[in-house]
Amino acid sequence: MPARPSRRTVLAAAVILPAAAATGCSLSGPAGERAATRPDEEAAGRSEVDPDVALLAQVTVATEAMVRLYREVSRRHRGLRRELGPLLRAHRAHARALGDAAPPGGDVGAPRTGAVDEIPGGRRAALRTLRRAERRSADELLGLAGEARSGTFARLLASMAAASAQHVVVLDGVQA
Amino acid sequence: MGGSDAASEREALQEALEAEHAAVYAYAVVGAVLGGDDTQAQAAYAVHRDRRDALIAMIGAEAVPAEPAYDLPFEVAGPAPARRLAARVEQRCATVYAHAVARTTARNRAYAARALTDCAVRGLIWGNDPEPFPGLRNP
Repeated sequence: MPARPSRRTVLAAAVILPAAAATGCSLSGPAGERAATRPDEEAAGRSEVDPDVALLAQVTVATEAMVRLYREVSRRHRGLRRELGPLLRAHRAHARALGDAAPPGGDVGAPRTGAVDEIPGGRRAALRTLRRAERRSADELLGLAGEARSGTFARLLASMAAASAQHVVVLDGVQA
Repeated sequence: MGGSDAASEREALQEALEAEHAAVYAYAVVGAVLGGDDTQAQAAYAVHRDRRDALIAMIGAEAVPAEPAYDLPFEVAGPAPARRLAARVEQRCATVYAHAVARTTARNRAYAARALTDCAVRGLIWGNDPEPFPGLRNP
């Protein structure tokens, strides 16, 4: 289950910090609002991982996993493609928004490969897998929205959580 | 820092309360039109009323009171406009709660985030389309 950031992504998040400090701005996300505190930390010779950047890395990994899961289910169950299309597009939009929230020049380093939930061969079971993944995603995003330091970033996560909750309802309505 | 100070937080809760006052008013109209055996309308009314009461408790003595009446965006003369009004209410509340998430912390933020999800899901019942970013105009 790829919801947790791997050690690699956390390290990647740490690596991009100096860039965030240097530019001190981001579109809507983690790095911008607290850039003012960064020089002190640097002066003190510490390089702490910005907690929101670590969060961003974690959410990016989970979002990419949702995109892959939908792609995989659509590939295995072509009859579901039309109904799953809007949901897949929503997760892609989430991934893009997270990319926009990253500090300029930074890459949170979400791996493109990684474990996706096993896709069952049966259509009904595949839909159940998607529902479970969306429910988990909604729960996790709600929790992470509470952890974010940036209010703007928290709002993005809470909105993504609401989208996943909507997807559960949509999936309930898909004919198995 | 980032608009999450106490005054801004309180203001965000007040805005949510104003939205819930209006929602309770609107759902009273929706319920009257759809009738007492429309369980979705009754449930939605109860949820918004409970959130209104919870927000009043969270804000305390300075909680904004309800207006005596609210302008409805269109005439609610039958079931179709009643459902459309309910959909509109959920959309509006989702936007207000998303805004509140950005301006609150800790328990207040958790409350706003859960309410946002509830409005997004409840809106589907009334015909709102699922959207990638409920409550947000631009992510």
